[in-house]
Amino acid sequence: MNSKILQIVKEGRRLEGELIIDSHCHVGHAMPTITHGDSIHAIEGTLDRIGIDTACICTRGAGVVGDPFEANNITASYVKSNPQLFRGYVTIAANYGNYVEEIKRGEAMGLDLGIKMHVYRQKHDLNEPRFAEMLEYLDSRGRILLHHYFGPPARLEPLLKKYRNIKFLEGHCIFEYAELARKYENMYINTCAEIGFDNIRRIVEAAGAEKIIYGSDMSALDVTFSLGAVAYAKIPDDDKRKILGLNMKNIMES
Amino acid sequence: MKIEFFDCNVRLGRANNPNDSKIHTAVEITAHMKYCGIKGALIFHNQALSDWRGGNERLAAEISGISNLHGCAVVVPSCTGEYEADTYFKELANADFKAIRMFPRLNNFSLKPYSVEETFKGALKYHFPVILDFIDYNDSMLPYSTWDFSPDYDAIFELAHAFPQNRFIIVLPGMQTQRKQYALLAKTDNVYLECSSFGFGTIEHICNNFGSEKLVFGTYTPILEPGAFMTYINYADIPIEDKIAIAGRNVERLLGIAHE
Repeated sequence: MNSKILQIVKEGRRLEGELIIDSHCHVGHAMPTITHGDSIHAIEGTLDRIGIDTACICTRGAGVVGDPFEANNITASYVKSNPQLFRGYVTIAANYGNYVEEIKRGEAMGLDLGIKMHVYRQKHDLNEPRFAEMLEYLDSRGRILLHHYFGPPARLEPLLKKYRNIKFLEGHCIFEYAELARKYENMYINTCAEIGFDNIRRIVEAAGAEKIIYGSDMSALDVTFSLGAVAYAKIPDDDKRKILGLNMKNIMES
Repeated sequence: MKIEFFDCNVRLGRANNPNDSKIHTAVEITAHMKYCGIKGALIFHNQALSDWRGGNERLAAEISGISNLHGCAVVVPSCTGEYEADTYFKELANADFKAIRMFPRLNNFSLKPYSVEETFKGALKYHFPVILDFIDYNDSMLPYSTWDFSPDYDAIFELAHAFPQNRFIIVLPGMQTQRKQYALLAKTDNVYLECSSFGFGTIEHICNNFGSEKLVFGTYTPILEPGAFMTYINYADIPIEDKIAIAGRNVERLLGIAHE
């Protein structure tokens, strides 16, 4: 299978002329690791070297450790420094209330993509009444809800039905959501951290190329791992282009 | 200058979970290597995880005549009397095996000198690098959890000092273990990390602070997708000479394979 994108990646060249949007990035520090070269300037250089046009960012730690409100301030500082390159999600920590208030505060700072959550780590479930107002707000604005793991598909399906304008973006290429992605227009699956053998081709087969979105988990992981998994996948270049940028562009513009 | 990849971490044979061995024959694996642009590989057999001797024999038979696949024998410590290290390693050398691989978690043994001394003496005598693999195939989160693996770096440090002439290659070093990795690399001369499940900026930091000779390319094909790790090296912000070394030359040197 001839692939222009694969050839560029094999040669380590800049992905010139291809739209690359990384939908799942983190900024800031995390407790267990050292992350070198994660200053704004260094990340800009890395993204430019590879040819990534837009990095959609949320906090590192992502509602697990540290002060979630200060973390959103840090995310906003990246967006403010280079709004052409960075777009932001508000990280919502389920342990606190006033979710809409924090989303609006984030939006005022330029974090206008939607939200990122790790609800299960905070021992909550999105079906709980405490999240209804937040979901209605996101639905009214057609925002993205990026989530590390939504839980069992049966728990997610009622939300997909009820909040048709929210783009539910599952964060880590979990195959159990493929059927929902086929069934619901507002369900998407991320390639983030998917490095299992042949799994990109398989998830495209299961969910459709239109429903798969490139994400890297930078700067937790390196920005290139998931990119490589897509580039080397045995799928047509047209599907790779959808995954690497066109699908996310459509979501961001709709 | 061209980057040529030699993969130090490939597995042959059917896995218990078919999702972990979507390709599993020598023909399928070499075909995928060709697709990716990987010129050679060090390979072990999945059967050796439960029956190490039988798996090694099967590996030798299945890669016989395939010039770019080099055998890696799975062994356990010889101190239990399961085999006599010098005799068995001589057989392995005669069968052109290039390295030994040990699974301290899967095979449930200690890495303390009282357990592995005889084995490592044998490995040294026959010039076998020792690949240490801390994977847990029972982990329901495989392959995703490979990012979060944490080899026993304390044990590796002790081994490196107890057996300073042996060479140890650590596969799946872990995305979040930089504090352990850097401390280890600073204090050892005979430990090499697989350049796979690293975090952002790790390859650049290791090259700049410890030297690119500390890294080798490996993929854990066919559990993981080799293209992901090749891309990491291709786009790393390091000199092309370092990329060439990490992609293949370092491990070829460790294995005693002449560069073609």
